Amino acid sequence: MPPLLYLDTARLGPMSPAARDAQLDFVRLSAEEPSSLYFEQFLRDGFRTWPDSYQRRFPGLCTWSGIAGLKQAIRQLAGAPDEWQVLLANRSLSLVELAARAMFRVCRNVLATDLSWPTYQRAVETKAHQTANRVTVVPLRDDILYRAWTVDDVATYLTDAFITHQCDGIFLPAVDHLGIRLPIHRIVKAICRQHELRFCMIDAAQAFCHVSITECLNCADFIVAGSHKWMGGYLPTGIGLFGRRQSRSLIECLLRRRRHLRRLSDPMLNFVEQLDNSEIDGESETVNLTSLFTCAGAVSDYRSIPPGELTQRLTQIDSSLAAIPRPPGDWQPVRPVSDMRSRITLLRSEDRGSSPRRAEAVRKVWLSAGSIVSAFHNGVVRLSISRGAR
Amino acid sequence: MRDKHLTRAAIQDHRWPFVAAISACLLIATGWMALSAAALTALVGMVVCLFVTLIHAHDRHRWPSADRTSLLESWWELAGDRAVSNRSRQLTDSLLRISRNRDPLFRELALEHLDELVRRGEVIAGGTFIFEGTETWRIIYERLLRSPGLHLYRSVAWVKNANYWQDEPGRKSMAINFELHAGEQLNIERIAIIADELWPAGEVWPDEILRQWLHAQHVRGIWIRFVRQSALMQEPDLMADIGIYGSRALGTQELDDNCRTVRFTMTFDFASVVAAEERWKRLAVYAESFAGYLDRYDIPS
Repeated sequence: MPPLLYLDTARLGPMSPAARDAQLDFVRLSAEEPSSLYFEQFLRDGFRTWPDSYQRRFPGLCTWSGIAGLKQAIRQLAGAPDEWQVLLANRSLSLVELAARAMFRVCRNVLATDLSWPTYQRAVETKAHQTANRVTVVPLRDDILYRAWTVDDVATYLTDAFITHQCDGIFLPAVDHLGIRLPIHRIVKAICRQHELRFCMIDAAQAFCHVSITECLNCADFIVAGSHKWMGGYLPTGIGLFGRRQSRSLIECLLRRRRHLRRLSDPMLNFVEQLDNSEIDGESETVNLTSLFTCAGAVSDYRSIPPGELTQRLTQIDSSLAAIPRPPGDWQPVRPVSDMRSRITLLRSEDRGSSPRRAEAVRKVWLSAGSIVSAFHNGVVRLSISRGAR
Repeated sequence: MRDKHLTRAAIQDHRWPFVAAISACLLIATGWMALSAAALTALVGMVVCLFVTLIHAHDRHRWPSADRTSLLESWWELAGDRAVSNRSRQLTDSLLRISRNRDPLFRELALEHLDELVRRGEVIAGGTFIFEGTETWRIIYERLLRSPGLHLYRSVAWVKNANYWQDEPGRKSMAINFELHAGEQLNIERIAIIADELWPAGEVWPDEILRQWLHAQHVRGIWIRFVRQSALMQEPDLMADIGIYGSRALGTQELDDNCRTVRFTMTFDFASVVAAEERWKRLAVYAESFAGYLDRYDIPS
């Protein structure tokens, strides 16, 4: 029986080789030297500052270049300028909450769409409610998937909605969990031509290391991403990026204030910020740091891929799809116009009578055919083709 | 002379209740002798109703108040508001004591003071409080900002002097702004109208003290816009130093050359608040966001 083809990166990406090596050696380090004299220095400054003997014993941790090194590598991976700040957290939701807090400092009504990840959407709505502000949600998915809306249609529609509802902030996914790649820069540009946009928050959890987020950097005040999907870190680490001049000082001030008041609820965010600012207070919660090392390994692996190859893989999505083992039946793609496609594709069975409709049953049918996918109700499956699957 | 006429008219006016009461008594006495118990009860009821109606009509005619309520209705309404009713009784007691003093000079002075009191009462009843030559308005300002149910405070700062809100009372008020905004109790937005001498046409940023004042608010998340005063020459009604407290109240500050409060007017009149909101929207068209400026220009080192 041939090995199963993993096509569920949009849920949880396969661990990259360097991430795996980092985790294995960190586990060994934990067993052999749980609290080494050199550990704090290693943590802050990286593998190179370790004594040679340690380097020889734990070579899998060679991708660790310290907190600042990891942040710099992530900045480079995202294509962000050096002055941009990188935040690392146990959960990306903590960063969404932080960004929402900053957003509702200045925004009274934030425009969102039905493409938002529900958990993030709820966090934003909760913060809006707490601060006596609003979130206006407009439907978009069906128009993109079933009515073939173009990039211009989407930009015009969202601009009109923004003006009609008198919004002043926006919260959008760069790529939604069903694979729609929103033209963020076009949308923001169209809005800014006609109205004041105070804060732009982008969910790049499905976009980071999947498609280029460079254009988001030109217009987003805060970008939330993670290491466990397309990057290949496997263990979840929330990644936050911010640095636009108009909002940087606001977010930095908020972060500093919450750190001082000890109100950063995410243990890793709190610890990393303290370490980065040399303000360890000795009272912070014990933090599981494993995901930092796997994240560093994954970043290292990802940066070794030639840039042209990533673009090529995106354009070759149709040929990749054709080669995927699938169950019998007429599986038709449900996807947006080509400008808004990503490496996530939805397929729907057109054999309405014979194919199973329940999500779990559909998933099993695909598993029997040799592919691991996500399945949804009505016989729709999601194929997310990682860099490992060609 | 005029007072004498008024007194005579008042005496004549006060005769009718006695006449009406005597007539009613005679009618009931006649009825008691001539009618059965049930008919007499009905008659008494009718007389009482008639009497109350007459008093009500008379009061309405004699005491035409701003909202056309009669004295009887006023008493009835006030009785439901214990706090105001207590003040009403205290005022009535004072008026009685004033009335009993027959010294003409005392009466003259007292009436002058009462006229002033009436004028101030009318202003307060119109929903407005005026503070002149004092910074004590900031106490009311803080109470209002901290009041439950207030979520949005929009402020227009008309900055004619770099010392604007840089004194101790001003700094304390800013600290309250920062505290409430950071605590997510209140959303604050501010538009600064800046005199051209503090922000000359060729300069990117306004006067450094002023820029820092605006920047300090920006980093704390107060949404700041600013505009040169000269940009508003065609719309002089937009030039004012005001605060809009939700949709609840409007404060207007007038300052002297040293940025001390000459007068502060706080009004709870809804129409005034709505008009101020309209002016705020027009002003926002002229003003540019501080954040947008930061995106385009470097801060002076």
